Amino acid sequence: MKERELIDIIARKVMAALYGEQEPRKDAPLTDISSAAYKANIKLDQVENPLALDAMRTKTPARIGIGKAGPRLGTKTLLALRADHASAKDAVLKSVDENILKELELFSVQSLCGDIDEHLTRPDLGRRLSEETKLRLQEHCVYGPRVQIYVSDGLSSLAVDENISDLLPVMIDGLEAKGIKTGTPFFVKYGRVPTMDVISEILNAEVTCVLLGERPGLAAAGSMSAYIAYRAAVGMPESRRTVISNIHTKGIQPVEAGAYAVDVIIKILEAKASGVDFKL
Amino acid sequence: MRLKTMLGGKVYAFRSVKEVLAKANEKKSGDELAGLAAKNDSERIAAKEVLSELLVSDLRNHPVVDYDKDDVTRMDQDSVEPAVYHKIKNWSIGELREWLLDYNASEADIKYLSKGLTAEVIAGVTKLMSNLDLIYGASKIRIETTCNTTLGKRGTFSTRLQPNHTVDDVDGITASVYEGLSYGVGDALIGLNPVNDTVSSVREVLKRFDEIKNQLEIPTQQCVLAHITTQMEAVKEGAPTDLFFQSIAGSQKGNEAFGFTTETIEEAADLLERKGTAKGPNRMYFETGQGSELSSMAHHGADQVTMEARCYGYAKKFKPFIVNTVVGFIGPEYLYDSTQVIRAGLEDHFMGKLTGLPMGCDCCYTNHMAAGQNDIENLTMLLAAAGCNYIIGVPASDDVMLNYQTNAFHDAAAVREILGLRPIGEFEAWLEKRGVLERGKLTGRAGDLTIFTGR
Amino acid sequence: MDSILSVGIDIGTTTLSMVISRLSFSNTAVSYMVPQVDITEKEILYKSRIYDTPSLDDTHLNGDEIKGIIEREYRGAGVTPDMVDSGAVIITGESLLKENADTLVNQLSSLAGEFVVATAGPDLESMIAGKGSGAEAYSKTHSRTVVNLDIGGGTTNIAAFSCGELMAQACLDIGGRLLQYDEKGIITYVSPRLNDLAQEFGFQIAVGEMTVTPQRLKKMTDIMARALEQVFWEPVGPLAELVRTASSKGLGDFKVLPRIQALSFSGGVGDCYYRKEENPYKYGDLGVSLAQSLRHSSLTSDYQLIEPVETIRATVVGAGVYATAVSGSTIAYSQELFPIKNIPVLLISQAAEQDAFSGNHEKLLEEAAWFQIQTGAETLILCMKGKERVSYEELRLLAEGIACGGESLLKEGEPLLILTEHDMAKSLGQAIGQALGNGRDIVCIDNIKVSQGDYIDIGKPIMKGIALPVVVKTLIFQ
Repeated sequence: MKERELIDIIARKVMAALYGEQEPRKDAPLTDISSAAYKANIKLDQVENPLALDAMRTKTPARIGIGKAGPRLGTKTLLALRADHASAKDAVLKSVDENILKELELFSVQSLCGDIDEHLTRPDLGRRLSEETKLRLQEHCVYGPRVQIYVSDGLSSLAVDENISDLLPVMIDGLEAKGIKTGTPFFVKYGRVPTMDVISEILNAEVTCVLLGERPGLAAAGSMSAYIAYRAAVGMPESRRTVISNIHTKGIQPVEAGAYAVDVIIKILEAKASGVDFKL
Repeated sequence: MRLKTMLGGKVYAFRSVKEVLAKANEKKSGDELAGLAAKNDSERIAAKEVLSELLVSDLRNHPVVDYDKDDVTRMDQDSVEPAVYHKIKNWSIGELREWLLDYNASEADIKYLSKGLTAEVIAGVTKLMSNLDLIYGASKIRIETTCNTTLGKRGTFSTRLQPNHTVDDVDGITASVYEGLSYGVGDALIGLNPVNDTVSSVREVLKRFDEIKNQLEIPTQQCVLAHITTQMEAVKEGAPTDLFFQSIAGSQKGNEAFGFTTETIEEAADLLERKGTAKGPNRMYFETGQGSELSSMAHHGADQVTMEARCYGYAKKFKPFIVNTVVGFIGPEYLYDSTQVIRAGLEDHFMGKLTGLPMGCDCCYTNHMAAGQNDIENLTMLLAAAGCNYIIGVPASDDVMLNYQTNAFHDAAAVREILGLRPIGEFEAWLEKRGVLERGKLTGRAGDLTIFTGR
Repeated sequence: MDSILSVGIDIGTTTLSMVISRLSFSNTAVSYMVPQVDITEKEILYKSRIYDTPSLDDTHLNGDEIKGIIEREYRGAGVTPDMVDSGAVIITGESLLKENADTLVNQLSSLAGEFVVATAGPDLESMIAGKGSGAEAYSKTHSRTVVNLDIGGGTTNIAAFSCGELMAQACLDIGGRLLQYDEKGIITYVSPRLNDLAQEFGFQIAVGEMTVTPQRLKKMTDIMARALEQVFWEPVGPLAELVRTASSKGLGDFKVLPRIQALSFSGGVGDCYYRKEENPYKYGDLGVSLAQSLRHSSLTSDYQLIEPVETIRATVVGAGVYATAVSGSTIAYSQELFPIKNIPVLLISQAAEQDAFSGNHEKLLEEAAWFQIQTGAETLILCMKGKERVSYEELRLLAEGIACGGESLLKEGEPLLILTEHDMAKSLGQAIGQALGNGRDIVCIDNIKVSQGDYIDIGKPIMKGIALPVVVKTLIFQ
């Protein structure tokens, strides 16, 4: 044994004797700041009725019973809020994962918006498609499908990343099992809800359904909605759309939402109407 | 009437008063979306110069929506007191600005002068004000209104407790109410934005609010912000409410898009006088926000600040208890970033106060705007300094139902302490009795929502 | 809004009663959300008077007279059995031990309406009485832990609720009618339930051989009250253990409760307790004296006592109003086979479930086959937890496993019944349908919690067919 190693060992023994055994510090497992577990830990510990505190916290997703620093928010609350805001902003500003589109064999087209900034400030352009894009859709898609389903980022690309792989196939297979052929699915970048009206017209779809990312809240950055319309047409009133919203893990999970959407679409086909004209 | 000017050797000419008003606006994405904004800062400043030389009478005589076609214009124009108007009709808008800022213009003077102003005049002078001008000008004016308690007294800064819930679960809503009360929030109002705009759901929440208010003996007011016709149905079925709420717009077409007419409001006011639970006399709650007219294509080619001023011209007839501008809710296509949101908040507050309204502000932003919580806290301080009647409070700034962020329950106490402001007197006494507040500061017990569970 | 009539019939040791209530359902979700059907109103329309439970002798209930009473009360309430869509007949305490209880209860449930379930089981009754007494609602409104003791003729059903959630439930052989005597005070009946406790009395009790005195009554009921006190001891006291009803399992659960903040008494003895009945001989049993003993016990002095909404009717109101639950509102069923009654629950293990999600359904098949052999059941409902988030791949694999299991274990024409706790029944039902590819009927529901040993009844669809009323119950007669 070298002298130096010996000195180290002795030094450690002496330190241990003086200050207690000091194990080398292992890295504790990391807790995700945006996770439910992290938030569950942000809780007042001294309250008049601890039982009521727990019960009330289960009755609302709002951040209650969290305590304070002077009059202000505690550090963990502040960081959890900033983490959720960061996720929400990222969900808006990011692009959809190309690999997911590839796996689902979705080709991409784009609205008239040139970039994300234009998408956010010019909803009028997000509703429209160029003549070339229209031609491209006509070339690549089945014309006159009973049901045309497509995917769009809307205000949350994260919603597409998180939900579409489970949502879209449930719908396509579910409709197929009921003997209803769906059109060619694709992806529209920088799309708004009424973009579906243009698409319905150029592909002559009986029912059009867009699966679109919703404006993120702090609770869910990846929430998706299905907007469904019978014979959607440009300029039609908003009230003609049937909406299924809150599709995400903590809302209604995508497979279940997909199965429900299948039923809704079938009933819309039967009723030949959607939106307020259509009662489930 | 001069509609052109020179800047940097270039002549800028405008076709109409309406165009001058629009282009004199500070930059807003909503005006750009509408195709009304100045092309660049030079054109914007040129428009401001033209505006500064226009007379009060020029703006009165050129309302942005025709008198014959629009009841908002009619109500605003018809409310002008001729004697007051006669005195100022030949003032330029630039002179009006200086008069308002002058040491000699007292609160009483301004309130008197206000009776001669139309919405377009108020919007016009606002466009000539800097942010600090808007704060200073507004800080001269206090508007007091009384429902159960009196809001807006100098030295007070109040809050609306907004206990929203994703599915309107009454127990979940109650939990958020307790949380807010435990931070001293709720002296202006306990008011829910419901998910379900149905009579039965609204009635259930109103009943719970009334129970909480009575059992805990809270000196405040309560309402549910459903559509006004839903609230009316609920009250007809015996539901208790102190206030009626409605979102309003700056044009008749905009109000129709919101699903009501002036007769609806009149009928509602009458119903509440007979069947409401509040002492009064002020029993209405209106919400506004720049951009709402454009979103329903009811802006008649006018800019969003002018349309907002017209909301106030409309609101004043009904002597509301509170008016609230929900400043950053509608999204980046109307207010793009924090600069625009802060500006809009200060404009709306000033315009409302100059109109004679008890202005509060929902200092908020959505997650697709270029703004964050820091910006909203800045705006809150500026508005509190300007004498804003109230702000919103939600748990930890996160509204789980509206999916946006506004002031946290934790904000009001800090702002009050920094600026030496207090809640409404009776409410403060109640907070002290409950052990939440002591000599203007939150106690160690504050924040414990369970202290109210024994109700 | 949709509503159904629900009946509750309680055949207790001492009394018999009935209530008719209206349960209203509505979709509480907004139009742009997936529907969510809940019971949104519970209104009691009719309460019968309290009858003495008719008996033929010590071992037989008087079935004809009971049926007669129920038929008369239906007429009085203005309802016919075909108007009644749900409810429960519950038989408790001493009545449960009668030789003809089984037949009678089943006859009554079909007499009362097509989907009125027959149920019994001491722990379930505790929950039902606790809800009927209003203790559950009180605990929810006031965010408190509340215990209700429903003290009837034969048994005491105890349930604890914390902030509206059931925390513990147990049943003890303590009741007002375990001993009866005539006007002269001569004992006429001693329940076998009293045998164990009688050792503690310090004097012999036997039919015809002893005359009761106020002192002796007090001595007996003080000991009974002490047994009730000991339920809340940690560990549970020996007297409480001694009188635990044989099939009750939850006695130990009370000691893990958070601080008990309020207490209520219901049942016939509870009624005497709040009425402050003075005459111990009034009913010729132990009831009044037991209520008096309770007033002087630590249950009264150590806890905040609240008065329940229902005392003597707590169980019957609970059975009528709280027995029915609603399935999730995204479910799948191939056709209307309802009502489906008395389906035994097969709760598959977490391991079998995990395997099935990844495409290996051996364990699932094994467990189902074993269950069939054990119970001899022709049919069953396959119950599992499910997941908050299921991938499409997992869903398909699970569906194939279930379809395969269904084909190998069920007779032709027998429907495949599945229940998940998480919200995934519609997608699972659709996927199973695709995997089966034949005409076998499927019922796949979610949002219901069950335990091993439970039975399930499923009623006719409500709210235009989007949800199903479900009763989870225990069967004591098998």
